[in-house]
Amino acid sequence: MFSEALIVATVGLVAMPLVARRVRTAFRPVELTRYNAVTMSSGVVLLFVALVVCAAPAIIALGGGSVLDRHFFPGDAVVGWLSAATAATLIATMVIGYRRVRRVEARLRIESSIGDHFKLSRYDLVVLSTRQPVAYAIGGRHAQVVITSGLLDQLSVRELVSVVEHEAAHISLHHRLHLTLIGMIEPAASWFLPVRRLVEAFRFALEHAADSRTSDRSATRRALLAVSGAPAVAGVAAFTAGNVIDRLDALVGENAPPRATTRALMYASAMILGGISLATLIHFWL
Amino acid sequence: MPKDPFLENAVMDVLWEADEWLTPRDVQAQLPAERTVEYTTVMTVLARLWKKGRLNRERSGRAYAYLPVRTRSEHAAMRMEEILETAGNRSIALAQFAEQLSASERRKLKRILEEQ
Repeated sequence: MFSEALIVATVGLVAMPLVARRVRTAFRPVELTRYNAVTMSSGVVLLFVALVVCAAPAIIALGGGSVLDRHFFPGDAVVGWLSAATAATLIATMVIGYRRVRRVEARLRIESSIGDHFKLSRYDLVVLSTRQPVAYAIGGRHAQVVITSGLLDQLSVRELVSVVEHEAAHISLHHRLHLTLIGMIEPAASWFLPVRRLVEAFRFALEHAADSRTSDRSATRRALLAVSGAPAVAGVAAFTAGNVIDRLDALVGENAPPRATTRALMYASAMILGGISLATLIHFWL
Repeated sequence: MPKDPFLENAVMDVLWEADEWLTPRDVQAQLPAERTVEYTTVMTVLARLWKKGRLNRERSGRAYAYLPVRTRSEHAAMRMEEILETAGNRSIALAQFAEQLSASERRKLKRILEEQ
């Protein structure tokens, strides 16, 4: 019973961003991204610990040891080895995802010999000469906002300013960390639909937060409509990463105050799930 | 040694400017004054760029000499292609985008546009 409760609680924590998206008006935009990051990352860590604890008896039995048995969940070999396989898959997925994010980042970081570079206070604005309308941000110590001349041709000045403000917001809000987290679970999205939904919910929250930092919301909406439809790029904050309709909707309804009751319920749910996970682990360890 | 993409770019700039085979000592001497870099660091960076396929190399006495595989403009064109391929094709017009939507999403989009 305890192991089932633990698994349900940790999976519930990981899935909180899916619920949060449905009640997104309960949060301020930046708050939503932090909520998602904390619930998902703590859920993943606790899930991993739970899997290790379930797997340990089977693995320890291999070596003939039983000293630590009492500290781990009882279970037959099937449960143990299934947990071990799941934990190993989780680690492998996250390592593959992390390396892919860094590879994409390296590929999209523009060296000084390409394009026109303008050094601003928090980032370099890079303009690439190509007809395709592209806008994205790369965070880190040498942050860049990259746009193309194709984008300049397609948007008005106000719309362009909105785009750059949006991308700069990804940098000032430190979304690189969030994008790395998304990138680490994204490999599982290709074979597990709930993970794909989770990734979409997470990305929406990041884009929504960046949209909220633009000074002219109607220009942001027009720009989004003008360059909509592009696919998301693993690990990179891009102006037109999916969720276009929801983002447009969110920009229209921006002025509504967060719903306090729903917000309190969301925080309470996350704390309860986290509490159940921790309590179950501690209970069994003692 | 951690990778420094800016040092790699600076080294490539020196090689493109020179347009001839250069040893690590030559490259170190021609790096901008504000970039004081150890000889061994330059050697490591050149070896790394050679392994990445960006440089050719040949023996020059006891050291190696290096020459870029592509010209600066060829490299820029290749990088541009790589960037656009990675960042995705964004030239989809609104009409085409709308065709990809479900009926409920289209209704939602219509409502949003009417509110604009």
